[in-house]
Amino acid sequence: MVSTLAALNKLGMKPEETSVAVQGFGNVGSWAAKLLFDKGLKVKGVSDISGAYWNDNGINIDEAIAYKNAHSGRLEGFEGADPMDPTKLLTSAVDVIVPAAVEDVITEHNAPFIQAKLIVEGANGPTSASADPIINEKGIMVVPDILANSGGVTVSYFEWVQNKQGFKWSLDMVTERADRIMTEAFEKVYVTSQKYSVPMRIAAYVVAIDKVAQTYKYRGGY
Amino acid sequence: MAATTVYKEPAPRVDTENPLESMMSRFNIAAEILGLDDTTYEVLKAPDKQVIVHMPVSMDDGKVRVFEGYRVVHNTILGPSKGGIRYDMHVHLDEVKALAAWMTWKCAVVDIPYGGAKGGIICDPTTMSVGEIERLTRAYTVAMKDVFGPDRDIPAPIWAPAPRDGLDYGRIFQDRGLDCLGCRDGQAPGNGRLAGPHRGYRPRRNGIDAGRAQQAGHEA
Repeated sequence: MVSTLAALNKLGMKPEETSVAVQGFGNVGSWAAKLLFDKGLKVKGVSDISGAYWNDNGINIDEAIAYKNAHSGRLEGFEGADPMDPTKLLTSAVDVIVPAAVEDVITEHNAPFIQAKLIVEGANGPTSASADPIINEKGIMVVPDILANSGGVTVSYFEWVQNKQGFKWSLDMVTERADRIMTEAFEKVYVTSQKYSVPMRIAAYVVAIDKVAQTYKYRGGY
Repeated sequence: MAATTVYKEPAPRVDTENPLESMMSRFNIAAEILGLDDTTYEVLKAPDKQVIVHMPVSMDDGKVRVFEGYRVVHNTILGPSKGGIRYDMHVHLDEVKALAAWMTWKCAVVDIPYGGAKGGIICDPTTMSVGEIERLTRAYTVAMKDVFGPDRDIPAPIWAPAPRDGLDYGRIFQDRGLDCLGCRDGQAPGNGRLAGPHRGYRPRRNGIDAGRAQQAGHEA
């Protein structure tokens, strides 16, 4: 969620004045909600397999996670929020939406009704290609999946490096290095989107493909 | 508040777009902006390697069922390929290909020395026992023994149904006398594990691995 804060910064939005809805309360969703909650964002809506839940004053995510853990991983019956229509969560009145459940949840059908200024794709492929033009037209910033959730593979890479070296890093080292990598990647994608005047998603692909293409060029891969 | 409607994950798909086409449409736009040369375009648009296996697995009822599994290595120019394995009835080779390419872009965008890969097994883990899933996972690992390796292709149990998968890969690799250390990540604590915690960074879904990530966080 380093990228969420970086994006808010670019948009000139203050975390403590920002509201968010998180779709999915599994590992990605609940951690995203928790980290954003800790940074002072108001998490107004969350959803999981049992339904969606809303609290206009903000949901206490610590309580929600504790409830979930005590109720076989589900939020059903959680009293810190009211049940709502889960299909309305992503189009609810919040500044940021974090689709962190499954793919193809933002489509040409619901994209026109999105009110958020920022979409952070916690899940892989939550936005179908047909929704891209609508989102771009509306001027919504998207932190695309390949950027937003690449923290996972980054930390896996750290594990592999440590295993190869037989050298255990401290939690602080892991967090600090992961945060730095994510911050730098976000900045690179942002600068690229400005340079070519393209949405963040395309910019992320440009950065990635350029990296691979340059490597082929220098290595003489074929 | 509106009445709660039944919401199921995976959510009903309004759009059933081909994930590979969806990915390729964005890839094509980026390639055009970059002025990517034709050779590199041709190299990157298709995966380096696609492996399809059929795995006989003994089920609890005594019968043997044959499962189909895939491993797609999209690209390894930046380093050994990396990617999880999906256990799902809807696993489709096109989807696995898209996700493998996705892993290439993901690693490249954060500039880590990994290529991209993805695996998939057509099965319904919700109707299988832990023992059946474990035997299936072992069968898959054995079937992919020539693909996997700490410096070749590194699996990660991203859609794994049981928290023991990381452990199983490590163990099977050990059984085979291979260096398994580099292949192990995302596994349960207390296993001679050297790695850092996944806290807040692990792209797992449906809460399956939440407990493990939290434990890992506490362990560090």
